[in-house]
Amino acid sequence: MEVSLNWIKKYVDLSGADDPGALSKALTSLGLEVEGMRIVGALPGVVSAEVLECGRHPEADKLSVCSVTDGTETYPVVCGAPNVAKGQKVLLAKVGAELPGQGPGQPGLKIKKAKLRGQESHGMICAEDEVGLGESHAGILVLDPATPLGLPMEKIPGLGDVIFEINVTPNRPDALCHTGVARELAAVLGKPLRYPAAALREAGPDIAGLIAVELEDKQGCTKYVGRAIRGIKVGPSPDWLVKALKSIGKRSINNVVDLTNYVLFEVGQPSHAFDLNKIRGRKVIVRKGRAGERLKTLDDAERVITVEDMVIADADGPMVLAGVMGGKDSEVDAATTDIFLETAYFTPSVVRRQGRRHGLSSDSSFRFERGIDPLNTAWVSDYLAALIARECGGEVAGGRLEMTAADHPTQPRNVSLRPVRAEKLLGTVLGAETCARRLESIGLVRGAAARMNGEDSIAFAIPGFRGDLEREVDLIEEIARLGDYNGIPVVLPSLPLGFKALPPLESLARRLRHHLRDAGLNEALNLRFSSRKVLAKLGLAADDPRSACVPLRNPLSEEWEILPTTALPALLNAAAYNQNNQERNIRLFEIAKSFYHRPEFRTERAPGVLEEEMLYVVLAGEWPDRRPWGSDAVASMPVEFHHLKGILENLLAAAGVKARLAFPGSETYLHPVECGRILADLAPPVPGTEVLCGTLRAAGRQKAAGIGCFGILHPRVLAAFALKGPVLVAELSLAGLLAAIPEEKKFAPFGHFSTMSRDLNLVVEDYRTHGEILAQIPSSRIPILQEVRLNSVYRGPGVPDGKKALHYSFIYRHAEKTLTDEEVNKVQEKLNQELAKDSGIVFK
Amino acid sequence: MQPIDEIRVRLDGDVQKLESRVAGKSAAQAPALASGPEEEGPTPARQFEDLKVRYLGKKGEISGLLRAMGTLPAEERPGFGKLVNELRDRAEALFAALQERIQEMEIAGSLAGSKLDPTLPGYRVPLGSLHPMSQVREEIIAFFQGLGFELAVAPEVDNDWYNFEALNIPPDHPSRDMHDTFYVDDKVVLRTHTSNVQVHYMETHPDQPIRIIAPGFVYRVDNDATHSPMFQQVECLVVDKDISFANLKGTLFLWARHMFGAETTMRFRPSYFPFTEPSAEMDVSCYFCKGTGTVPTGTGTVPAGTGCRVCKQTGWIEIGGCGSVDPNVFGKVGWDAEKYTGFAFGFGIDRITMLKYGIPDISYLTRNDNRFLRQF
Repeated sequence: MEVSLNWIKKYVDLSGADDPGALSKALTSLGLEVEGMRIVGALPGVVSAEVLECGRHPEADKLSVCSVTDGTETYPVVCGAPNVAKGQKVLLAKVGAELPGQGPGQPGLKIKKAKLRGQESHGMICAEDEVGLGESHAGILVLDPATPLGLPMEKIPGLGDVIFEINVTPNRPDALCHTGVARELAAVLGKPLRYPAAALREAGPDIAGLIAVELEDKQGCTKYVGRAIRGIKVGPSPDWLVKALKSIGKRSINNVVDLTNYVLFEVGQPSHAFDLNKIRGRKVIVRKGRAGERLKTLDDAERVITVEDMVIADADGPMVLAGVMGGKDSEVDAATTDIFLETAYFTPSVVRRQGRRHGLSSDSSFRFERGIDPLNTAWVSDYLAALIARECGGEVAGGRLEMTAADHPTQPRNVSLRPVRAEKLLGTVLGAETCARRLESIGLVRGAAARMNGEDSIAFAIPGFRGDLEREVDLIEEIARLGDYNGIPVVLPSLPLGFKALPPLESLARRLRHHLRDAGLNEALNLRFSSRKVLAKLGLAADDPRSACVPLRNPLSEEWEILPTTALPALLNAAAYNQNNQERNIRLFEIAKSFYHRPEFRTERAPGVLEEEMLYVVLAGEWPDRRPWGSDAVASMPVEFHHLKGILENLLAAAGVKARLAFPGSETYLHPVECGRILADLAPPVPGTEVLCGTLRAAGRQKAAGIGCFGILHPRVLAAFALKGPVLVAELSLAGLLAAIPEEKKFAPFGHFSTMSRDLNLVVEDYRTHGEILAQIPSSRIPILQEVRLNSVYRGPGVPDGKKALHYSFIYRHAEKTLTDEEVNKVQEKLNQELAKDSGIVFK
Repeated sequence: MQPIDEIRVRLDGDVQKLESRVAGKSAAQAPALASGPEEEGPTPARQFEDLKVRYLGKKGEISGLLRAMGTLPAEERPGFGKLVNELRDRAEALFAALQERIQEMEIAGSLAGSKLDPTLPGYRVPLGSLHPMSQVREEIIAFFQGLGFELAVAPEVDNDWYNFEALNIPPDHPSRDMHDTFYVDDKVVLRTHTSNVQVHYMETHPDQPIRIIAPGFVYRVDNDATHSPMFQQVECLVVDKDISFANLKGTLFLWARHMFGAETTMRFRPSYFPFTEPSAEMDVSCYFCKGTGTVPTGTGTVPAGTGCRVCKQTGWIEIGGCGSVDPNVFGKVGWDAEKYTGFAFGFGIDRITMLKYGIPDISYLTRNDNRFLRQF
């Protein structure tokens, strides 16, 4: 909200305390945060000055040659204005001053020393428009003769102004007007508040003979006050009124409308003026809307009224959308002579709902929905009527039409304060007197002392404009606020020692993050918003649980219309973005939430959305060789399936769970063969965590449950995300990892005897796997076999086409003795016989 | 005795000659000495072996003397034998010393001959990176964990009750305007703040002291250089029988000095949050300009004396909102507001991350540009 300093000065004497910076700080520390400040009429080099001499220019009839002083120096100035005269106090733009351009986009004028038809001129005497104060160019601006010389323009009374942009929090509707802001300043400066007043003179017939009011909707409107003024002259507003409204950015419409607006910004009560003669049936009805009714509002929009709306109607239909906006048909125009003036209290939630329903917000609705002073309605009606009669002529009809609902407050509310409670809550010593004084400074009235919960208390009458002060704690906040929060001591709480370990999920996520960082991966973070269109690129089946994403009712854009069941598309997009930036190595991971829309879990309080933390890995481009510059090294190599597999193997070990990889996997978005599953045996579920979804689809399954998958991205998905392949992807459920049986670390005795090894070269068909061959080795029956190590996989000269050579080492060790060659040979021989049963294996 | 003296003189001469040859070699020539081409005849090591064999070998000169001893008269033998033994001891000592010299020379030679280029890059898989927000988040958690806080969580998609109503934000209340809310439907929202944790936690831990910290993602319909529709907050809640606003200030002060440096000062401005009363905004003095609004000398990157861009020349940085727990919140979760008091505060991890690393635009945090991620 914009607030004018000149305007505020009408209600509080700020002499000696009107430094804009200091006021801005004071307001902010009162909770009225000043977000911006605009100094109006500040033009460096433009000062008040006096015309000492003024003579006709010898060469030009229309010019005068003047001698002008700013109190310290005297300058020759040539002036073209007809009204310049000796002895005037004027605005002098000195050499170097820059005047604003005349109209938007027009260049400014820089004042220089000049010669005008042979006469020296060291400055310019300014007209109103030249310094941006008004439209008038009829002549120079003549200041009050009492103006001191040499004052910068913004300090000259009546010329400059300071506009504060204040962020008023929703609990402070009282500060949405100039008297409200002035009241706060008066309180901290210890000055009285001068509330506005105007003398009301009633004349002519009583209002009751002119019009009637019916208050039907007593929920939506608890107080309605009407006045009538007849014989007014609608026209342009007086200068002071135009200036006041303009200073806070409000356009002048006509004198009647401007005065209602002025009072709104002055005391915070919205009012509405109707053309009395346009009210059909001479009857004003406050009622609910009726189906089929329409209203053309002042913004020229045709509104369809609903039965939930509240309207101000006449005998024929709605005239005003109550509290929000007036109607075209009853508006005050140049031909209006008689008006009906509405001043009312509308229920905040009702106004808010209808404003939202019609997508409308106005200065009035903004205040009604925050709550205006319920005790001031009649006073404002009288005050505004008096102002209108004064400025627009006409006479105020006798009396008010006043309708009050039974539950409308008529007295200030009382709230009790226990000063010791305030001290306890704030943690500072105040004393009852300090508490009371601070509250009185903003208009609360101190009442009787009493006891409350065994402690001394004081009752305070709360003025109507502070509807937010309902409870003791609200008064305590006022006491703290008015005494400056920074005065409250800084004290650590005395709490018992305690330690809380991180929750398992947090601690697991942290372990995974750090492990992957150490393994060379970069942690990513994506906005969780996505779209069904992007999700569809994964090619999920229609019945895939991951189709159940969470739709947003008011998304920022089409691309961000859901919270997705998988963050993989976002990470793939990030990979594509980096590929487009010519990034060669893409090694991203992210721990992100998946959201599943599962209405079957919806209850009164549960949202019917399941959230699951998932880990995603995306690798593309090159993987760095450990020896980037050695003679036998390649600088880097294309990232392969087994890079990802190795990362996952280490990751699962670091996570400390019994999990294993199985082949192939089955995941729509992965290569059908070059992919795998991550399986784990799950511990019996902790009650309340039975429901796991996402990759942990085998709900209830305990043995070999799938908790993740990995592999090469399917070419179709690759193309859909415009990625250059191959791209490797892994997906792992953190819930799955947490549910998996942990790997227990226990000491196992190991022999101190040395190992022996036997090498074996096998040639097999290219499609045969290492895993199949391993599976044929009866390891469990050979206790001395410690390890089977694969040394190389070879295709090329010496090995027939379509076949490959596998080179294995078998490592033997006995826990209690040194093995002999014969013993090892015997075991290896049996093992070879076992392998030889497979006709596809050829020994070499 | 003459042959003994003769041999001793020759031995001394030979040893001295070889010694001076070894000593004469500079370290730079040493490799050639140890293993280089034998331009100057045999290497010192070879010469040494030859000499040692010549004097101390089985068929060497000293052994020759002993063998010759048999030709001496019996009475001369003990005296002769003693002298020969002395000579042998002397020879062994000389050769031992010389051998040590030669070995040292050889080691020095082999070390100095290193062709290693230690400036070549080390063999490694380059370290990856943790997202800067993860790092700041961990740092904040660690601080509060040290004070005995428990980490608590709540859903990101939540019922209106937890995000609004139980936090004293009724439907159709203007304070809802402070939250640009994403809706799933009338009753389900993306949480607009981590304060929903307060409600979940108090409901599940009734009538007991509370000390929790709750970091997490929150959502607002907002998108510009300083606002992201998804961002990360940290919420703190302390509830006990004697918790005051002064305790809130004490806790925040300790944290602010940990996070922004020991010289940090802070200020509180009244504000409004429906779930705290009194409510405040907390600012800390700008860590960059030390609260002066002007860039100090010695920072290097920006000329001293220019306006501070970190705090936009105000000297203060806005950190977050805080306050004492509103009695209505206690009421909503069925707690006795006369018995318990508490404080809560919340601040943005994004904002602190941007301040800490000087990140100018919030969209860097979620763009996942390799050139950004690798910096952390």
